[in-house]
Amino acid sequence: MRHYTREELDCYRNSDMNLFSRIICTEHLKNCGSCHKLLDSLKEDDVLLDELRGKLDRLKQAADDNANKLKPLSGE
Amino acid sequence: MAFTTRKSLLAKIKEGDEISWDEFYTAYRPLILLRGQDFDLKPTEKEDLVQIVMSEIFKGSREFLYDRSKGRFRDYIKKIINNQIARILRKRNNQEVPICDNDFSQINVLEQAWSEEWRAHLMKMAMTELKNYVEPATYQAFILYGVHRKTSAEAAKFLDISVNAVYIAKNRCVELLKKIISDLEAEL
Repeated sequence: MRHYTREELDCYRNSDMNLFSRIICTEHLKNCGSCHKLLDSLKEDDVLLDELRGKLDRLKQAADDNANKLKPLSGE
Repeated sequence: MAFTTRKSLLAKIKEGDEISWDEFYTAYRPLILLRGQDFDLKPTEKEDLVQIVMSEIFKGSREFLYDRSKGRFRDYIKKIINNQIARILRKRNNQEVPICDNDFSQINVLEQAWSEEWRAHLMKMAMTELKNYVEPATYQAFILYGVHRKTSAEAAKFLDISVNAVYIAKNRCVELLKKIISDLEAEL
């Protein structure tokens, strides 16, 4: 039984796979623990990416807000 | 393998090398501003806070070398930032008296906020570090797809690569990021 790569599973979960391949992958995942585990690990990576985006936005916003609020003061 | 000859901040910390003012300022300014925000400091006070904290850490020198016998760096810098915030708050009220109990209780309440801010800071440092470990095209694909939320097709089209290559870049960068964040947590 051929297992799926991380990238193939990314294609599968993001609908970048054609319908026929998708049906085969769905069937495979029903019976393959290791591919299912890999799919779960990709979902965990999504959580990390969500956190990363949120944290980077927060830091950027703090710096931008301060710079914007200082602008009128520097123009005085 | 790193793709640059410039020594990263993490490498300098690990090897006990001196860190320049500019490098430190770029890396830590957002964290200090965020902490100032927790205490509702005014914009000018937050900029003052950044400068005072920097001065306190560099103590007149152009480079900084952290003495590990002082404990973890995250605790060291937190103490400096909190002390300087308390000083700014006292100055705001023209109080030349020690910090009152309320100030301390406020600092305790905001302990959880500090943990979140430190984690944000680590992630930002990790992203800077990541750039040194992957090829520019890989980093760009990751930024577009992983950070800026472009679809895999959009990122692929913009970079003129395949969708599969976008996913390879994303997965490579995520694995490296996990490792870098873990290293930073251990080192700082």
